[in-house]
Amino acid sequence: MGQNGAGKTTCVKMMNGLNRPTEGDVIIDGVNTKEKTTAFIARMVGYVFQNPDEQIFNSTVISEIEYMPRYFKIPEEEMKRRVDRAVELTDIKKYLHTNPLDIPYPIRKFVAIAAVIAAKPRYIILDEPTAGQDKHGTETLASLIKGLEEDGVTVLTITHDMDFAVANFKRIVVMAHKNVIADGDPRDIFWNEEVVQEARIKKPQIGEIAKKIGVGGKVLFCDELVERL
Amino acid sequence: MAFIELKNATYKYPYTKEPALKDVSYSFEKGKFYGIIGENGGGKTTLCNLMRGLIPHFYLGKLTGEAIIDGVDVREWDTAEISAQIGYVFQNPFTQISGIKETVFEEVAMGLENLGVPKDEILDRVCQVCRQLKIEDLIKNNPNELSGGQRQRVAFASIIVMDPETLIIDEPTSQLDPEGTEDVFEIIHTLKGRGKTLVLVEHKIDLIAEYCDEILVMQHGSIAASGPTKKILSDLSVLDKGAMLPGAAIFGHEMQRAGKPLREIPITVDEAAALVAERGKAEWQSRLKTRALATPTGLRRWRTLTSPYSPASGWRLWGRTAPARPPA
Amino acid sequence: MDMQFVNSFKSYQKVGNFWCDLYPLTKMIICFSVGLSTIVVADWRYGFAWCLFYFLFAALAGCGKKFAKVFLVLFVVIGLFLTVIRQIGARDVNTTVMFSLFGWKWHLESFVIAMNINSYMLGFAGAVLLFFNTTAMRDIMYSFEMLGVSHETSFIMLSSMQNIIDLRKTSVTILESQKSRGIETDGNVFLRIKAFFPTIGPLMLGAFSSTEEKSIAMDARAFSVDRKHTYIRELEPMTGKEKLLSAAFVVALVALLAARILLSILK
Repeated sequence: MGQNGAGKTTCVKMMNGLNRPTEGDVIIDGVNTKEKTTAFIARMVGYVFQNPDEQIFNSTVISEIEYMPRYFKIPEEEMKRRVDRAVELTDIKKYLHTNPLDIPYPIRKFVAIAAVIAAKPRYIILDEPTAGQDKHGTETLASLIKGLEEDGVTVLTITHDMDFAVANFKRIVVMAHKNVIADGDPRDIFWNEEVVQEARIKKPQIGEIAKKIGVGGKVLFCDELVERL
Repeated sequence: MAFIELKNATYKYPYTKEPALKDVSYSFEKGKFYGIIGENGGGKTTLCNLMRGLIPHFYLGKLTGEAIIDGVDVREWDTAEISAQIGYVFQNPFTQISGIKETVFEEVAMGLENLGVPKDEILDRVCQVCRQLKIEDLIKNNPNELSGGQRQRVAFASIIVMDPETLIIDEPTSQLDPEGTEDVFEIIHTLKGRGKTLVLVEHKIDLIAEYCDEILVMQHGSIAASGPTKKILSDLSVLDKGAMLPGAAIFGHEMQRAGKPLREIPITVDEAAALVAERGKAEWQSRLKTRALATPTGLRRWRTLTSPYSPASGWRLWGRTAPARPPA
Repeated sequence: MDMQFVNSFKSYQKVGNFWCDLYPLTKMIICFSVGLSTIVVADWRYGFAWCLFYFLFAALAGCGKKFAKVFLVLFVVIGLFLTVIRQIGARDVNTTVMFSLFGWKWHLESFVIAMNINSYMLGFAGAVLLFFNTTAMRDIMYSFEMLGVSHETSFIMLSSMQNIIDLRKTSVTILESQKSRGIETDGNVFLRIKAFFPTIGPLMLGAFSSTEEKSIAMDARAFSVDRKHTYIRELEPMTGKEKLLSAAFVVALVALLAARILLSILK
């Protein structure tokens, strides 16, 4: 998390091999990104761009999702399994044979995510997936992240949505002025006023209420707050 | 006075089977701030396009019913003149920059140049708006090299500077961080103070709750719910209509469910805090009463434990908590 | 707020350089007259002398390096090509041998003819280059609009320049995005070509879909309102001196042309 221009995207691009560090090293599972091509690193770390239109190029949703497994020459059976899982997680089954351009922008984002999931990287980075999503979209994202976690995939997300971050992530890294200024449990992050101030983030609304009425215990969730009153 | 009036407006885009708007009737009054919420594909943007005159002038397709803008049917409006009356800011900050101006200052000034406003007045107005939108430091920058958030501000400034009576804003903050988002809401709020009519499509429900006067919930092309913000957002049924509720409202309902009801359902942080304080005070007062009546401590404890009514949880009946009466 | 910058709009736009501050049309007339005159004269001494002047003007206008870079490339490519071609063809005029290259004799006469052609090719190209290097596109369009060219035409011209820049930027992003999915783009030519295809679709479609939004956005900025426009950025109209200067160049060109025709008739 962090303000626009804090360095979030540059940071994740380094994890994906798109940017190489000018100084120091980025090591992914023991592999130094400097020594491999971006495509090689990308097989380990998938990165879903903020704008799906920069990524999608096939004429149907299904061929878009199948593109990477085919590119890697994955056997048909395994590919089918992967595609099914990706479609299930992103909830885009009814669009499979549609042209990606004919589906609404927020759903196109899920197509881009599905295409990355099907390539089966160990880590997946989502760049502001919640932007423009409605209730259903946000819920799908939440269950998608859980699903990926079950599959053993580590998910990193850049987001400005505090509620989404608190509800779905165990660890939050806060960036400001091109630096990491805090890293830890959501409770510690959002109740550290200094960090909140410096990174210009906000507590989720329940946290704000708790602060305003002076309830202790780093409350972030509704049930906790209700219990304490 | 209704500025934009929709009467049974139904619209179908060309090449689609289903109409995007179905029988929408609503009247938008001058000087009010309207929030449009609801699921994607529910018709929010289409509604904006209609109120902006893009339907039926820019988008073909079939429009039935009436859409009256400032007393004149939208079909009879001149598309060019309507843009001077109704400002429009939308989601994508990249397509809203003209691409033909080399500084932010000139970019913001472009609309006024097109309207033929005298130069000195343009310079003054652009300065004022740039200050208001906190883009003073960017005025010499090339607008084509700004970040998404900065571009969105410039796009906003470019419209506000034209001083339209009504402003339709379609998801202006999806590219912005929390601070930028609040800035945008602040700007919109000051516009309201100047008597402008505002229509905003947004997903960020917390801010909608704080600023809007009235809310429309769009679902499947129709208005699923509409009315004053407080009324709409304190109602749980909005969740079934594909919209979100602010954390404060959820909190209010949860308190009720737990048998610790607040006097009413809050929709903002401040309201929630005030209601909790109010409730705390009421509870304290009733405790004081209990203490005055029962002198021995043991008896008091026994009474609070067994009494069928407690100010905290209402009437306790057969082990279940019935919804409490609001404290007097 | 940088008030100095804001106030700069109150007067005519000037950069404080004689050549750059000429009205775009003046510059255009001068450049084209000179360029055409090199074709009329078609003599290497005349043409190359102007080429030197171009460098001088570009340097004075503060864009010497940019101009030199492009012009020198033209110089080498066109120059070398024509010179060699001339040495191969036009054998009948050749009498004087300059030198011999691995038994291939280079003749002076052909060389001079080549130089003459070079001089006007480069003389004209250089003049055009100089004009566009020292005059911003927006200023050119401004002066055209003053002459009555429509606002729309001007917008299309200017925005297509920006579109080219944007398209390049987008293509880099798209390539990055494909890379970040694991599509190999570094390596041999075949790999690069293979990686190129996935970028075409999004690029073209992105350009199309943004056109629609852009036209809505421009419409919201009163683009289609039919009123007399204000220009906050104004250029000083052609002064009397400038008119005189332009006229002098045109007259000189016409005189040269007349002389040339006369000479060829007399021969």
